[in-house]
Amino acid sequence: MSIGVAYPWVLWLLPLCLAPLIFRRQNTVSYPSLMMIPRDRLSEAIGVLQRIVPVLLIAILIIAISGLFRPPEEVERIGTGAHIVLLLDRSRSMDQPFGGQTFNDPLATAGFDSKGTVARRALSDFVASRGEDMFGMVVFSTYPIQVLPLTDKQDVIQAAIQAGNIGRGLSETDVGLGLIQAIRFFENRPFTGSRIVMLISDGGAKLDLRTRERIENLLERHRVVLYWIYIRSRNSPGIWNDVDNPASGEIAPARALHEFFESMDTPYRAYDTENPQALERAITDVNRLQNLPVRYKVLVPRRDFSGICYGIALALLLLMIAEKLLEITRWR
Amino acid sequence: MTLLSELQKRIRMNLDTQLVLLLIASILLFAALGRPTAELERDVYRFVFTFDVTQSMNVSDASLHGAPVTRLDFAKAAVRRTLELLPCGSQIGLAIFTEHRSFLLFSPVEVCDNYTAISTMLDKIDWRMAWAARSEVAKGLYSSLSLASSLGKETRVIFLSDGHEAPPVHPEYRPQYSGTPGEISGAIIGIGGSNPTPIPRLNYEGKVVGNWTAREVLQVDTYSLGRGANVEAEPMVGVDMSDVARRIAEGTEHLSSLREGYLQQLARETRFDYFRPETPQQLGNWLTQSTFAYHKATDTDLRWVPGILAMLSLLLAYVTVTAFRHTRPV
Repeated sequence: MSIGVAYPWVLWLLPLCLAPLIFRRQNTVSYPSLMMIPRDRLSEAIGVLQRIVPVLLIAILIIAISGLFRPPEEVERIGTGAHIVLLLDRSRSMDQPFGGQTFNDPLATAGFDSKGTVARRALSDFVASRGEDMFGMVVFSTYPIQVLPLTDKQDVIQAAIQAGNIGRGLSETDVGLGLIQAIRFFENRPFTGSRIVMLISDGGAKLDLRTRERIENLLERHRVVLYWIYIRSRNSPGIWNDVDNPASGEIAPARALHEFFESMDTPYRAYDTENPQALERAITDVNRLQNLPVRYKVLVPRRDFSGICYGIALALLLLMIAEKLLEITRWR
Repeated sequence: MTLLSELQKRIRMNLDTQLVLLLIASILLFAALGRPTAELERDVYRFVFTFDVTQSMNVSDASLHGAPVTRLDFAKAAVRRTLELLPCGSQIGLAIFTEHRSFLLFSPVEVCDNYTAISTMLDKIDWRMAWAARSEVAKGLYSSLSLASSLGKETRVIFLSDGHEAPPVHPEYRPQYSGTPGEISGAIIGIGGSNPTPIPRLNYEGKVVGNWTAREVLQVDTYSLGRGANVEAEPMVGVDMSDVARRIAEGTEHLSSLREGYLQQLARETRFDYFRPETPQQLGNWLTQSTFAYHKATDTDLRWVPGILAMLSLLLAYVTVTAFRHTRPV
């Protein structure tokens, strides 16, 4: 364990602690003869303390003033966090109103939460409740853009989520490319904890066969669990309502994507943001996943020791005051 | 009660300068334990770095330690150096620019706490993040200014670009900045060399597969090409199209160099500063000057004040300068 001092030059004052030994100040009591006083071992012990404690007291106080601290250090911890890649849709459609609110005027577009806002709120809550997990983030529209490496720093994860509130979305949506890039986050990484790709999107797409196969293969190879936090558009049937129509893929592309995900061999779950318990379910589901112990490094922040030094100094000082009160200054 | 009266009696009996000094010291130490702090102002920075990730930034005419590197790599190295030089408490956000707008990757976060995350993300910035093959520098700059306007007034935009507009802009019909110049401050950082150099074409794996040729890029601005309506290339009012054919034939838009004059003009119009660093260190030094800083009140530990006073009273209590022993009359 390393120790640091904020103001090292203060330590040059340390010799001052010897002053009470050298220039001792002692109260005397006039008494005819020392021989008449019986020997008292307790008083003698206190007398020794009376000399040593002030030295210690001043030394500790100087150390406290110099600002003793332990610098931030990397500590290896073993945890059970999951590795989660957030795959957030940043297409223009996410700027439109969210379907899970009541609309008095079916055509009004102003004054409602956009799908993007709802998505970011859900994500931000989710991330905040999963403090031990590592998050990476990819946003996608026409092309996927990685915005965060895997990190456990809540600040920067939240900053990346909040960045979506600024500026409009980009133009198009290509879920397929986005998924592929998100899964490839895990390439060449040892498998140390559950891997989740969390897709947050309002829409679906009919993926071509090649992309579908590629996604299935990658999910299986990298052992990735796929979660979809579905943000329903207004007037959209959603992904759970059966659309009994041969052209359902055309009417509800999200449903087509959902069906494809369900048909895969790898684990998949979809969550619905309209119901407030859904997010909690997502959180507990992540808990339930098998987590191997993960060795990871955390930076333990700088710790201040001055407070403890001041505390010790005060304790010693109170001891000295108590001792002083026990002194006898005159014989009666 | 008896304890209290005994204490009173004891204090009265032992009351001398030493006891008074000890009691004063103990009060001071109590005060130190209460963690007294004061708000002091400190210089910190809040930057959003916007990287031009268009293809002209792949030209290798910048240099790091004597070796040629791409303009984008130089820009990244320069920002990394700045990141290392910024004092704790400063904040950095990253954005990229292509097409006609800037896209914020993450809003500014504290640099010391999030150093690893910021630095890893800096590595990952890549021309493949571009979602379209256009490079409208002026619009990109304006959009990063509007990003910054929603990030707080302390935010400074640092726009790193070579100033290569693709397609070219008509000198008279340039995009106009709609905000108030000077409301948001920051700097344009010119990256690249002065000699026109071919722009490499890369495949998706990042390998160079050739250079862009004169025929593959727009050599003149879209106004000069006329309206693409019913009548092919119908001239637009006020646009001189007489020598378009010659301008296309002689065009050098497939070659790229740092368009310093153009970037300086953009800087003047938005009341930005302009700087062209030769080394990453130069950018770091230039950005950490006080004009970009803002004062942030931070809690400063003041425990040393009662601490030193307590130490002085202790020394007075235990040290006597007189060589003679202090005697008390009976």
